[in-house]
Order: sequence, then structure tokens, then C-alpha cells
Amino acid sequence: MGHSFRVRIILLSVAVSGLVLAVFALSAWAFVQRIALQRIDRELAERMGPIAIVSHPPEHWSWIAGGLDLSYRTNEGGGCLVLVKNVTGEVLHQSTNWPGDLPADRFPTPDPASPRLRSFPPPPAPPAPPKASPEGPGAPKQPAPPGPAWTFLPVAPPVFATRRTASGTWRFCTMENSEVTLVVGVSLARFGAEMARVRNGLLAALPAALLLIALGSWVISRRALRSVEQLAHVAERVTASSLDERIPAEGADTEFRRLITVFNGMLDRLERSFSQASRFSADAAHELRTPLTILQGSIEQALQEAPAGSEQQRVYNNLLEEVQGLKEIVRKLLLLSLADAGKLELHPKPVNLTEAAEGVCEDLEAVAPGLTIKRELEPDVWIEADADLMGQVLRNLATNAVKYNREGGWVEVRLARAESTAVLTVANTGDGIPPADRDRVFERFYRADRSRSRKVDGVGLGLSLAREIARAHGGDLRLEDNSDGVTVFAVTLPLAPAAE
Amino acid sequence: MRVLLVEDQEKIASFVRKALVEQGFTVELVEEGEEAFLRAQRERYDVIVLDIMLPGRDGLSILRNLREQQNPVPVILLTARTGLSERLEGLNLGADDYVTKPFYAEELIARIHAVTRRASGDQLSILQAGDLTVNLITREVRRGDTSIDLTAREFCLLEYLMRSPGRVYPRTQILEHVWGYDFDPSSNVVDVYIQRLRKKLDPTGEGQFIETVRAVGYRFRRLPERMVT
Repeated sequence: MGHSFRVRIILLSVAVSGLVLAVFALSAWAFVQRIALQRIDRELAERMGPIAIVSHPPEHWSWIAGGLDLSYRTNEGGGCLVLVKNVTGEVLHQSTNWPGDLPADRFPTPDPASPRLRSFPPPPAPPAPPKASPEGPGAPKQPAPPGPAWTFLPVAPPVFATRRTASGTWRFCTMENSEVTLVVGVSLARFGAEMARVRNGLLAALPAALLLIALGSWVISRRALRSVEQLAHVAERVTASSLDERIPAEGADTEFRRLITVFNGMLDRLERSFSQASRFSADAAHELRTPLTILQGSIEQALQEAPAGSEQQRVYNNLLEEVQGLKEIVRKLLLLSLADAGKLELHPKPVNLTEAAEGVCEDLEAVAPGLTIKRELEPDVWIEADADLMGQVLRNLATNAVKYNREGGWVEVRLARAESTAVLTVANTGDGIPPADRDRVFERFYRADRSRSRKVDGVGLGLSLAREIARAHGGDLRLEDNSDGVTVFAVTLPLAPAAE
Repeated sequence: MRVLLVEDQEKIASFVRKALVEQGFTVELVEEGEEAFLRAQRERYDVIVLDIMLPGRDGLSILRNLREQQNPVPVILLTARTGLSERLEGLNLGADDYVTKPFYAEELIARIHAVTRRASGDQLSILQAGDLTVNLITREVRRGDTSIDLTAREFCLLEYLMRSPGRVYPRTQILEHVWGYDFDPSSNVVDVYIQRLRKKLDPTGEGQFIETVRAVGYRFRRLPERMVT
């Protein structure tokens, strides 16, 4: 089928929309990821903020870390990593499950120049504390409630970072106040799983969407190309004899209507010029008939009146031969123009093709005693044909076979039945037809051998007309392979119905 | 023999009339359809030679009207070669024969003879020249008591030459009549067939029936007892 326009449209639309979809899916995925990460970050900051704004005694950090870890714990596990360092870099607390491949000092710290947040409201007046001292000497195991005299510290804005370790990916938040640097990390394992689900969903939807698009463009292109197809159908039907075909423009889309109008207009012009050309030949032939009749009649009379064997009579005879040649040309042109217009009148009756071929062979033997005439004729091959025109086809082929033969050559006439057709082939020796000219032998006024054509009579209308006649009879005339200096013409004609 | 020639082309009419007059026919020429129809109704002719394309009333219409009036006058149509349907219509309308343009006057004269003979019931079935007899119906050719076997083409050639003994038949004319169109006119097919015919008709070669007209063609010798009914 070659490159189908429809296939190209489908591929193109799938490619373009695939690209758009891919970009869209990618950005959607990135957006979802960013939102989710922001949620995690906000949560981290919300939980750490209240811790960071207050000054804690160093020994409290393990409790605070425990609480934070607990707040991140779910049924499936979880928890968080906590690291606390004081301003001198001394580690006050580090979670026991802190990954070994994660150095504790490799976290971005807030820019020291960044403003410290002091916008915390002053603490409300604490209710009367039950105990006076926050650091009771008695119960070191019990987490002591923060004392009433909390010290608020300025805090730098949180800084976030993602770190990959052997045990998984973590999201860390660093908060710094004037006393400590607090680093808390949560596992991104769940987040990763969620993002993978989103990604898989997108990956699954993409091919389905592409399939839908391909289907859609298939349907659309089918609809769009229907007019083109219609156009092609009509163009196929248009031949020289049926130039009156037109495409209906009603119901077509605007864009196609223009094409249809242009196409129909072209057919109009073609039909007009074709019928003009055809009519011209016909008119010319008609116009020539009267002077030819006068010429022929007058010369005939003069020839009869001239003394037998005289020089005058010979001149008249030559003139008569020329008139005869003219008559032939005019007649053939007229027949060709009629055939072109599809108006070649046939007067069909049963014709015994075997007898006709036999007659032609007989003539060949008489005309060309130097040639061997071979014949292989199946008996009683009957066709339904115009006897005059069919005789002309046979004589034309026979004449050519002699004209273009070589000295001492042969002509072979074969007639055989093949299914419902009669096949008559005329083969002859000779120079053959040059391969370059093979397609042109049926052209009008074509002559196979220009150098020799002057010696050979005829004007090169015979084969063209013979083929038109064969076609008008529902058959054809073809030039078969001509190898080794043998030229073969084959006429196929439908057998008469009774003979089948 | 009285002939009504209906032909509007002056020059065609002129040579046809001349050829017919030479045959001893009385020729009346009319160039217009209505006039021709009136004359054909009024007068009695042995044959009407009628062109189809005419000013006034066309040839086919004249023919139809004559036949509607039960006028049996023999009519020969002058038609265009391609007007096949025209010819068929003419024959259906009751034309006795037709001759296509361009035609030889000789051909027209032969048709006129044939048509008038047929009309008078005087069917020509045997041509005779000396001791040579040609039966046009059985297609039998005899020389005295011996039968001569001719091919279809040879018979056609002999019959053609015999219909006007003494008349010169140029090769092209023979070629057109006997072989039809499109046989290479430069070929010697006519000469070859004439030689064969001569040999068959006259194996001894003493008295030739067919004479050669140098550089032009052939003619059949005028011999007594040309026709026998």
C-alpha cells in the first residue's frame, strides 16, 4: 500500500499527543511530588518549632527525642531520627538508629545572617506551679514538666534537605536557636511508595490514552479522506470515452468542495478539448470526402478515356494511387476519431476467424514468395465481429509482418482458443522493435524505423486503429516479447457465444 | 435507361452524369431534395441514384416517402463511409443498394445494372465469355466442359474483371474491391493473383482472357456472348 496518508496522520497525531501527554504527566508528577514534600516539611517544622523556641536543659533531649519519635510512629513502624548539638558542636543527643553512613555534621545550617524569628508571643502567665524548682532533686526518672520560667530563644527559619542512606531516603529539617542545632529526619519510604503509585498510574494511563487518540484519528482521517476517495473513484472511471463523469459537490465540506470544483472544471475542459479534437478529425474527414470523390471520379474517367498503355494513362494511374492513399488516411483518421469518441459503429455478425486468417495467409504467400509462411490455425473459431473492420486488423498485421521482415525470413500465423477468447498471433522475423519504442508502436503516426520508413508505405495509423478496433470488439491487441529479432503481435477477441 | 441522379455537389454530379451518359443512360440531374421527391413521384425512372445529404429534403426521407406511396422504383444510395447506421437504415427503408463515397463510377454503373436487372426479374446468374462460363450463384467456373477450381479470392477477382469487359481496371481499384482496405498498395498481390488466374483459366496460354495494361492494371478481353441468362 506504500506510504498511506492515513497511517501517517495516525502516527503523527499519536506522536504529538504522546509528547504532550508525556510532558504533562511528568510535570504533574513533579508537582504532586513537590506538594507532598512540602506537606512533610510543614509537618516537620510544626513539630520541631515548639521545641526549638524553648531552651531545654541538655539532659531533657533524650525525652524530647523520644516524644518526637513516638509522634511519627504508626502501626507499620516509622519513627524519626533526632540529632541535637550545642553551639560548640558537641552532640547532646543522637538517635540510636541513626544510619552509620550518614555523617552527623553534614547538614545545611541556616544562614547565620538570616533573621532570627522572635515573633513568639510572650508566654501566658503560668498557673501557680505545684513545685518551685524545675530540677527537683528527688525524681530524675520522671520527666519533669517544664518549669514555669521557660526561656524563649530566637530561632532561625528551618532548612530542609534530603539524604540517601543505605537504610533508605530521609527528609531532614534543621532548626537552630542560640543554644542548639536540632536535626530531625523522617523516612521517605512511604512517600516514595505513594509517588511510585502515582507514577505507575500515569504510566498505565498514557498508552491507553495514546490508543484512544490513535483510534480517534483513525476515525477522523477516515471521515476526512472520504471525499478524496470519492475523487479517486471518479478519476479512475474517467477514460477517453467517459469524460462526462462528475463528482457531486453537494454535502462535501468546504475545503473539499473547492477541490471537487477544480477537478470537475478540469474534466469539463478535458472533455471539451477532447471532443473538439475528435470532432475536428471527423469534420476534416467529412470535408475531404467530397473533393476526394470528385478527384477519384475525374481521374477514373480520364484514365478510361486515355489510350491504353499510353503515358497519360500511366500518369492518371499514379494520381489514382495517391488518391487511394489519401482515402486510406482520411478513412483511418475518421475511424480513430470515432473510436476516441466511443462511437465506432460496429455491425457485428458471426465471422469465421479461421477462414479469415486462412485468407490472409493465402495473400501473404502471394505477396511475399520469398518468405516462409507458417500457419497453425485451430479450425472453426467463430467470433462475433464487424467483418470489414476485423479484416482490416488482420490485413494490417499481415502487411506489417511482410513490410518489416528480412529477406528469407518467415511469418507465422497462429489461431487458438483460450477459455472464452480467440487468440490470434502474427509473428515475423526482422529487426524487431527497439525496446525504447515498444510502448510507442500503437501511437498515431509512429513508424518503427525512420530510416526505412520512406521506402515503406503507410502513415503509421494502422496499428493504432487495429488496436481500437480490437478493443471496440471487447478484445485487445498487444505487442508480445520480441526477442531474437522476432516480433509478435497478439489479438485477443471474445469467442462468439454459440461457439463456447 | 432513365436515371434520376440526385446529388447537390455539382462536380460529383458532373462526373457521375458523364459516366452514366457514356453507358447510354438518360440522366436527369436534380440538386435539391423537394424537387427530387416531386420528380420521382411524377415521372417513371428505371433507377434513382440518391445522395443522402441534400438541401431541402434529405435522401432517406425521400426514400421513405416513396416507399410509403408503394413506389417500387429501384434506389441506390450514395452514402458516407462511416454512416453505417445510415446505410442500414437506408436498406431497411427499402433502398436496393448503396455506394459509399468516394466511389468509382464503374462501381456505381455495375450496381445500377445489377439493380435494374433484379427489378425486371432478369436475374443475372451466369457470366460468359467465349467458352468460359461463371455461375454467380453456384460459384462454378467452367471452360467448355472442364470445371475450374478457384479460391474465393480468385473467384472474386474474375467476377470483378468480367463485369465490364474491355474496361481498364487499375491495380488500386482492383485492390480496393477484391481485398478491401489496408492492403499495402505497393505490393504485387494483384499481379500474383492475375498470374494464377490466367494459369487456371488458360493452362496452355494460347488465348488470354485477361490483358495487361502496361503500368496501370488489367482488363478483361471483350469477347462475344458476354451474358446469358
